[in-house]
Amino acid sequence: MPDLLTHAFIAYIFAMAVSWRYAWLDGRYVTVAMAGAFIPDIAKITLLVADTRVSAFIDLLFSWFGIHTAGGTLLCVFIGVVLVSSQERRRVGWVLSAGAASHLIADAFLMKAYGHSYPLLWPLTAYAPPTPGLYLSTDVWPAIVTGSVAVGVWVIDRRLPKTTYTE
Amino acid sequence: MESSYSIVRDGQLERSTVSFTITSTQSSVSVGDTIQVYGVFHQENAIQANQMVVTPSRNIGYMYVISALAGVWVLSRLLRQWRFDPEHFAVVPRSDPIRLTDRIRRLWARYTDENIDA
Repeated sequence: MPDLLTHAFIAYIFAMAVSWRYAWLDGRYVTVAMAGAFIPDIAKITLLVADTRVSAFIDLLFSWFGIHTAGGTLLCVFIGVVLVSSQERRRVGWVLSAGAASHLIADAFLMKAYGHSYPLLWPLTAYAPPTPGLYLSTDVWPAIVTGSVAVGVWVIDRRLPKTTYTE
Repeated sequence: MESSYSIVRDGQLERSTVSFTITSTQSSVSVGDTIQVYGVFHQENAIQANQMVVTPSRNIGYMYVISALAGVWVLSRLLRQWRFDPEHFAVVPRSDPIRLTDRIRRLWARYTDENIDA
């Protein structure tokens, strides 16, 4: 992962741009997209409870990294979807998924020694696509670049005529 | 360099440490850095690196701090724009999201003893 702030900025930028096209997608759903962009990094539970600890406990090979894939993320999206009221489920489902997808895609560009990223489409396929190696998780510049674009998007959004969506 | 690893064998967690000698022509590393190596074992515990990626340890603190800030930002947005509706036992969007700028303006008005219509 790049840092979570970069992931939040990326989701913010795309969600804000889409909000100019769809009136129902207001600031509240932009937030949902940003929350969705955090989902794959639930896999960082591994820092608290190591994979091997779980493996020893359940007596099966185990990795939290499963959450950082399309399949694991989708299960987490479903949890988010059932938390909201029934009228919101379709919208929240789409927006959470889009946010989470932006995270998985951004992480597929991380620098790897082997030159391939990670099996982001698991369990559909275990194929790890080649990565251009754009950045490291600890690089500072992705947050600065995406943050600047996010500020630009915010300024444009404020200048646009306000549309209010009514059911 | 040293690498610690854990394996599960017959349901037992085994932790161990192994030492590798890595030969690389590319990057310079300092103590505490994390590295990824793609290369060939040319003798026991000795790797000739074809590719090596170095993650400097000095940036890891920055990564955690900035990520925590992002968490606070999104959590604050969620709490201001969504609420738990006990009647339907579900999270619903607020019809009138709490805007931080309004809050600050109102607090400022109270502080300066002015009356504003908010």
